[in-house]
Formats: sequence, C-alpha cells, structure tokens
Amino acid sequence: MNRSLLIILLGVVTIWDTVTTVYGTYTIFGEGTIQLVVSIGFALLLAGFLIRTIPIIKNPSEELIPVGTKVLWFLAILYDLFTSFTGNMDLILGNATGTQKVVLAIGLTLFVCSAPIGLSKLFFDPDSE
Amino acid sequence: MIKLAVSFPILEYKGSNVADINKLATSLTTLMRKKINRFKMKKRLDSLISLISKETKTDKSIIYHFIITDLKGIYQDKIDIHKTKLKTLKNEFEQLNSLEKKYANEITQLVNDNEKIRNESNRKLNEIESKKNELTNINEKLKEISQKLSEVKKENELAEKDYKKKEYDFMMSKHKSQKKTSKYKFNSLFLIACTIIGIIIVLIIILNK
Repeated sequence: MNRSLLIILLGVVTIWDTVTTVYGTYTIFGEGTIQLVVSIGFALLLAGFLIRTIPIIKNPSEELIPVGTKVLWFLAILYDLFTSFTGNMDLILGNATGTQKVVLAIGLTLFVCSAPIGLSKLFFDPDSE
Repeated sequence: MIKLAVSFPILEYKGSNVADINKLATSLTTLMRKKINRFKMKKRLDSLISLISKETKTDKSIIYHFIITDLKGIYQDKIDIHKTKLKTLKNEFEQLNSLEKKYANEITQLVNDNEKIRNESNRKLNEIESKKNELTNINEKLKEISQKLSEVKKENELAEKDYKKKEYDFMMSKHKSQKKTSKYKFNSLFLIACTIIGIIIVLIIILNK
C-alpha cells in the first residue's frame, strides 16, 4: 500500500482516537469550559505521546527521563484504551446492545488504539519502508 | 645254657648261686644304666662271668662269646630300631623339607605377586595423580575461559548498547531529514487539519449532549 495513503488512513483513525480521549476525559471530569479545554489539552498530549511511541520505546538510554517517559507511555496507552472503549461505546455503538456491543467496542478499541503506534512506526522507523 | 635277655636280671639259670648271680646282675645293670664307673662295671662283669663259668662249669670265653653275641644282638636290634626311626625321621624331614620348599616357593610367588600388584597400584596412582593434575590444569583454563567469556559478554553488552544507541540516532536523524521533504510537510498539515476537524467534531458532540 502507498505509504502516504497508509499515513492518511492511520492519521484519521488517530484523530478519532484523540476525539474519543477528549470525550472520555470530559465525561470523567464533568461539564464546564475549563474541563473541556483541559480534556482537549490532555487528549492532544496523549496523542503526542502515542505518535512518538517508537522513539520512546526504542530509546536505549537508561537515564531517569527516558525510562520515566516509557512508564508514562505505558500509563498513556492504558488510559487511551479506557477512553477509547468508553468513547466508542457511547459515540459509535449507541444503538447496539448486550455482549455484541461489548465485543465490538473491544475490537474497535484495539483497532483505534493501535493506529497511533502504527503511525509512529511509519513516521520514525526507517525499517518500515 | 644261660639265656641273657635284654636285661641282665632275667636269668633262666637255676643253680645254687642264683641269688649271688642275680645280685651281681642287678648291680651291673644299674651301673650300665647309669653309664658311670666303667672300671667298676668291668669288674662286676668279670665277677659275674667268673661266677657263671664256675656255676655252669663252662669256659669263660664261651660265656663271653654268648654275652657278646647276646649284647651284639641287643644293640643290633636297638640300632635297627633307631635306624628305622631315623629313616622315618629322614622321610618326615624330607617331606617337611619339600613342604618348606613348596611353601617357600609359594611365599616367593606371593611376594612377587605382591610386588607386581604394588607396582601396578603405584603406576595407577601415578596415572591418577597425572589425571588430577590435568584436571586441575583444565579447571584453571576453564576458569580463565569463563573469565574471558564474562569479559566478552560485558563487551558484547556494551557493543549492543552502543549499536542500539547508534541505531536510535540514525533513526532520529533520518526522521529529521524526512521533515524537510514536501511529503512529510503535506502529511503533517493533513494531520493537523484532521486534528482541528476532530476537535470541532468532538466539541459539537459534547455541546449537543
């Protein structure tokens, strides 16, 4: 597949992942302009973390900041999985019910959350070419 | 005739002077048994022969002849008995001697065997000692190799870390060089635009709820 097309596709899914993160965070924080702004800022920060997955994971340095960044990345992916699951359940699978809804939500979550990692691979890893 | 048996006191002669003859014979026998005072012994014998000669009216020489013959017979018998005993002893001695030789040979054989075994065991001990030394040398070499291996491992780890660092640096430098390309700029702009659109969408969703 064309690399640019793949980047565009994965980019769109990553944006959707960011949208679900904003939505999920806002749902947790509650209503209000500040909460909305913080949610958007937090989602952008999280998206930035996930798009830089490859440089974070492949950094061989054993110093505090790179290692700490790896820990934060791990927390970020967990939070992303949670918000993506919540967002997909509410925004996409609103009409579905029961087990089917949960299974679909899990599938979508995994697909959506892997998109920024794939994008990171395409952006940073030279072997991907 | 008078019959002189092995012991003088037994005399078959029965005459008027038997008591005297018996007395003399007993005395003579005692002297002969004790083997002392040969002169006295001879004198008594002479007296006894004289008395027997007189009593039997036989010439002294005849009495002597009979006594000597008798004595010869007695001693010949004794000699024969001793000879037989000696022969037996000789046979026993020879048997014992052969046994001694046999045992001596066996002992020699045992000593030789023992010597052989001792030599063999010494040889084996030396071999074991040699093997032990070899093992010690091998162990030392193994220790050296293990030490070198750990050093090599450390070097390898360092090299691996260095390689990863270089690979990471190369990846980042390549990414930096990509940033200058128009394709990258287009992709970035597209993503930013999409992000803005996404945020607008989410704002609409949130505000409509």
